[in-house]
Amino acid sequence: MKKWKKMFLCAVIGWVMLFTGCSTTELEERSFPMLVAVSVDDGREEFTYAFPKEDTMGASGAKKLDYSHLKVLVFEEELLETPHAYDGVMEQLISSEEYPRNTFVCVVEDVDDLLELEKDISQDLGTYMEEYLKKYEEKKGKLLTLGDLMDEKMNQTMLLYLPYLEAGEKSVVWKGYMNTMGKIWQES
Amino acid sequence: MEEIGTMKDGSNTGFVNNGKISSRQTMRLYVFDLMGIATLLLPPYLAKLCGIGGVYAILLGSGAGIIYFFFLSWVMRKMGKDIVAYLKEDTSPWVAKGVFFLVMLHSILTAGFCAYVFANLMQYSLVKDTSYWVILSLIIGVSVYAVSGGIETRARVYEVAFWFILVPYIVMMLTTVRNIKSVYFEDFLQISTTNLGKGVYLVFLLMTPLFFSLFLIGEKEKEYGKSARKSILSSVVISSVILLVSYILLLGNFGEKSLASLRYPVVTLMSTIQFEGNFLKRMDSLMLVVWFFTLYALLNLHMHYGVRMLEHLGKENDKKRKWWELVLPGLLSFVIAYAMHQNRSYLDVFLSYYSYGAVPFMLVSPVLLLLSRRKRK
Repeated sequence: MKKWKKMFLCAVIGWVMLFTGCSTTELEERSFPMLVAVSVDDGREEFTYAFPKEDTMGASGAKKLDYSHLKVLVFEEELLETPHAYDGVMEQLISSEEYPRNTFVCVVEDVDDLLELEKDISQDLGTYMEEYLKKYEEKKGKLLTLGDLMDEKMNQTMLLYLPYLEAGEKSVVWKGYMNTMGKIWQES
Repeated sequence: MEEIGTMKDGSNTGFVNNGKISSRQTMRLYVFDLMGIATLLLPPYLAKLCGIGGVYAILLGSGAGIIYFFFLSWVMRKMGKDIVAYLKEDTSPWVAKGVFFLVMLHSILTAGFCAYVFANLMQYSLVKDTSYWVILSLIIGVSVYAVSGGIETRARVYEVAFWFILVPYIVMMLTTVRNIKSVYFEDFLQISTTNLGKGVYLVFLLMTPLFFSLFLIGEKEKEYGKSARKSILSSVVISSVILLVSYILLLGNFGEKSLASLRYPVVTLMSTIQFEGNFLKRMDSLMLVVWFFTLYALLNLHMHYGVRMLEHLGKENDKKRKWWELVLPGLLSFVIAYAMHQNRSYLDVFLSYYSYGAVPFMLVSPVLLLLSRRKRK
């Protein structure tokens, strides 16, 4: 029995070692978006990704997207002003189960302006925005995450206020808050 | 009791190998068995059925679990020995074989379900790209190997791992208190009783592994029986408190409807907790160990009784365990788990079986067995 047990254990370990590599996507075959920007173009939702600076292949779409390192999700103002588009995006994010719930969420007036900013900063856009929002979180209290938005999409109990930003010359500028109905609230 | 360290074949292992475990081990084993699957699977169902009333469902369901255990304790005292000895000595061979067969069937089916959940959780939260059947075969293989080592070996592992698992879990859960939104508790006093009964039954359903205490405690060893019963009772209380606190925290963090929509909300909650520092940064992944361990414990519990009942169904005098008695329950569990993964309707069939077949059996059979006691000549 003892000999049989050892053989059985060896067979189980061997089995797993032989087969676990079959369908795995290797690290080199993945791209890690650091920031996802969602805008509306001709009534259709459009997702734009910002990758780490060293990942030059990411934007080509040749690799599998892995959202596990996502730092910030950016909504264009117009998306929040178009309820059916916002609802569609939220449903998509919830059902995909791939976006980390503790991703920061913010709103910008124009996504293209924000993406342009990447040329003028040393870090990738996702890390830059995360650091920016974290600094504001220390000053203004806890900021909302994607998880909060997902929960509220289901619960419908309160109106959420997201940081409302603008892409300036060489940095991002804090403008106030925008709620999920598309109304701006500026601090006095 | 057999001599310490001496196996049935005469070899010396340095450990007790007598099919009995200490009352402390019993308590820890049952906490794992009861809290793991309950904290993992119950909250979304309770949120869907009762919302905030789930809190009351947990309190009432746990109360029902405690009453059930008192009932089992009474049965144990009446039997005067563990259920296997009672069936063999005090009932007709047909009754004994029938019960062994039904318990074996139930154990294998439930082991299959546990393996399905375990593999699903592992794939969902850790190794998304790995194929399901590879994960499942690893789980079943390790479980069969663990069962071959005897209940004592596993009990020792759980005994050592107990605080290493429970303390981080409690700490992690308590860190989520600051994220609770009071708006989700506004209807705390307005409870709908429509589905409360179903919620209570669900909570009680997950307390039914207590049935297996009939196999563990024999009244012949009075001291052990008394302390083991106390241990199991405290394990019911501990796991109920853990479930209750976890449910309140989950409800406060996600809200009723969002909680109902999540697959494994407690794992999702863990994944949102962030600590600074190299090691602590990945604490969320580390916390999966809680459910890996607890589900593994529950899987092994059922696999163990599947194997044991199969042995008892065999020839009376043949005490040597055959290899197929160990492998067959494992193979069947694999098939059941894989079928549930491939077709969700099998999962629904299992849940219906458990609700309408297994639970009534576990409630009624102890009394029927007492009534079927043969008179000694």
